[in-house]
Amino acid sequence: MNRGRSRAWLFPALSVLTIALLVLHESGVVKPLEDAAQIVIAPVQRALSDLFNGLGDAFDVVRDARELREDNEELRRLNDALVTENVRLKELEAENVTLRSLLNFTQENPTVATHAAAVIGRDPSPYRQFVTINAGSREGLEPGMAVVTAGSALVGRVAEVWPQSSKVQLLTDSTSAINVRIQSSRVTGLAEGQPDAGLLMTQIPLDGMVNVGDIVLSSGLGGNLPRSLVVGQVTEVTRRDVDLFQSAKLRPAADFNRLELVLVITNFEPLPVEPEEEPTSTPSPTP
Amino acid sequence: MNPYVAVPFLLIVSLLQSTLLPRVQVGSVWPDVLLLVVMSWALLRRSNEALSWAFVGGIALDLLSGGPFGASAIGLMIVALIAGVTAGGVFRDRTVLPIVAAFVGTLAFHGVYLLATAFVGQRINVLDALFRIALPSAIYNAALSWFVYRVMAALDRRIRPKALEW
Repeated sequence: MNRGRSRAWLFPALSVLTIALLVLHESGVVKPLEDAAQIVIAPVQRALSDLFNGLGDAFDVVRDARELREDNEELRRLNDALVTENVRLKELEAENVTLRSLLNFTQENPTVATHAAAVIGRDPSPYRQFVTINAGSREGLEPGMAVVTAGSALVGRVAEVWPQSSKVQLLTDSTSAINVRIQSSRVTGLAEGQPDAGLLMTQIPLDGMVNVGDIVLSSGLGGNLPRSLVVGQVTEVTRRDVDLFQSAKLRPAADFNRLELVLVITNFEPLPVEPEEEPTSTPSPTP
Repeated sequence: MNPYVAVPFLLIVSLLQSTLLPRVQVGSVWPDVLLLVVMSWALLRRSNEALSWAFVGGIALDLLSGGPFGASAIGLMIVALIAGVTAGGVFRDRTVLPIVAAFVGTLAFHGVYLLATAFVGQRINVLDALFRIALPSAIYNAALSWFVYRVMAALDRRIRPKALEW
């Protein structure tokens, strides 16, 4: 009896509390509490992420076992031929590691200031494509900053910032849309995330030249993102005469399922978008 | 369960949801273990405890997600209610019960989540979401539900106070 009665009030009470939290969250009132919670959560999340990186690799190995076996046979044969060159290769490997560290994104783009961060968590909801990184306002990160991989492939934008961590909205999130252009034909469009974590280029004019294999870059239009960051490659083009625009499926340049380390571009200043002001130049008539 | 144990337990399950479980992704979905834990507890205890678990776990998920704040909490509370009603209803068979409850509960959870998403003005194609995410998630969760239910049942037996013998 008591149990039934108490259940009757608990659900409405918790629902009202949740809705109140939703409203407070949207208004930013509970931001300090969320910041405090993230200070506790982020280190645990990072520790778990590090732990599961190893397990994730093991999962991948199992998944690719058949392919790896074939590769292994081929590599075994190659290995016999390469034994005599082993010492020289080790020297080259060491040199290669040094060169790789030098040939990073920052050196290819000397005017761009970046901050490296590790991915420590993914969005628990399959509807949303966000990742959590281990850098936040303490490192100078701000919402809207572009996030890329070392190969200048665009990952997404910083959506929310806490002192020690940040949430990054990936390009494939269903509420993400960025201005892009085809590298070869300079045709512009919008790269929109899809519910299945795919990427679709829309708003392509019917007379625009789009082919499978074309590279798609950020256009810089709108002033929110730096231009010429690699977004993806066209894998399928849909063109119907009855439509106003073409669309094209894109394969993202960044592998979002294997993101481990990203670079946040910290010195790009988005153009401020302000609402149109009332004309003030006309003097008001005096009586 | 003692709240001092339950809250950290739910936080750890939520963190696993954002770190480990996306690695066992099939298609666009991965198992929702927190949902299965809440559902199992509601089936086992049929009490307000499962509702509280849904609230705490849901808020933790919402903190880790870019989705609308509170959506997971409300969704999980609905799952707890459905599971509680199912446990006392027609499905007495404890083998089929978790599977049915997980399937129905997952669909309800996604329905509530999509409503909350629409409520805050975020655009998601409902048909795409249903066939590419909600339905595969329901099947994935149903497939794992019996295992999670058995684990939670073992936990329940371990911590349930023993009846006094005279």
